Amino acid sequence: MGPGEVQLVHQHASLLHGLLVGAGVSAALVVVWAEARRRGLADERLLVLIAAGLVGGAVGMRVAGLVRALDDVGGSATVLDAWRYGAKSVLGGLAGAYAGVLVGKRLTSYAGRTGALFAPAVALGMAVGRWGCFLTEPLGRPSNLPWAIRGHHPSFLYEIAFHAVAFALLLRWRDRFPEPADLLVAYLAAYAVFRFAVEFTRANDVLALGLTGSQWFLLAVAPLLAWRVARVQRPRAAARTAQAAA
Amino acid sequence: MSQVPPDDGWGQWPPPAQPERRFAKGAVAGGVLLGIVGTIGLPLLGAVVPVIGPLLFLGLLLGVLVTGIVLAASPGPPVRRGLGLGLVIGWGVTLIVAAGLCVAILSSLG
Repeated sequence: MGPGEVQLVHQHASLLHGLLVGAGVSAALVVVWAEARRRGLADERLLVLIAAGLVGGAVGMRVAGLVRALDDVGGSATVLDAWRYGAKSVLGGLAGAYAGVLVGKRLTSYAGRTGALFAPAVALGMAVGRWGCFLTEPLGRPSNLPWAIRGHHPSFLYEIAFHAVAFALLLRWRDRFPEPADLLVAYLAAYAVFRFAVEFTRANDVLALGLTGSQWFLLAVAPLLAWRVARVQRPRAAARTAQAAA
Repeated sequence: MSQVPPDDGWGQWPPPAQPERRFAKGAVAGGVLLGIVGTIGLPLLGAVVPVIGPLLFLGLLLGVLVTGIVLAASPGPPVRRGLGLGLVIGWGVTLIVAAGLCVAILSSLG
């Protein structure tokens, strides 16, 4: 932890972090399975997709640490150190989980779309798991705002609020989307925009031009997200045009 | 002319073919538990062994995943495949949950 950074819980911090992240993962798995049953999609292959998503997420979370270690040519850090102690990135985890599910679909020849199952699950998992980060990681940058905690932004509380609201909205709108799987695209796009903004309150290191590593990562994947959002919007716009013409 | 047998109240015979189960549910659950215990326990064993500790750590950590994938993809019975799938799920869950936890444990060991 750097100078000036504030952390709420010190004793047994790692255990508390692990327990709360575990609660988040468990809640997400329950929601995936409940939603799959509700939509009649709970078949065995979904287990393979879940396994592939978890492995992809676990590996993706550590990629940031690996990159940092490989970058540190002159230092003593090894790939093994990076795997053990390296930064655990939620964005890397989400990207890895997304890629893992795609690989799982290819392996099982699963043709259906699963975004409707995973979107509310990820939102709830993040809303729960982020409590672990809020309690055990540095709060955020210094702030004089009335809701600041010990003079710092409660940046993880902002994220918890975002994911809780997203979860509620996803449940409310889950049957209103023409293509339910697009719920995941909408959620990820909204989170990307929110996360880019909230990074300005986080205690993360600035990489270059005043932006953190997470913000540079988001800028790199922005074209891909924009393309996916455009694909969601295209059929809706065509439907509106056809309706107006009729 | 097609011959339709009279309904005798016993439903369709022979019954419609059910899709083959690839994974036994109980084995998946057992595999998840085994995967969690193995992913935490075996690398810890590697960490306390001097000399080959780091290599053992990595080997055992990845060993759980590789064993799971091999079993899950094997042409064996559903119990074996289910156990393999459970190991993979347990490995993934443990590594995500242990993002903060394992750092403290390994630090205290070494």
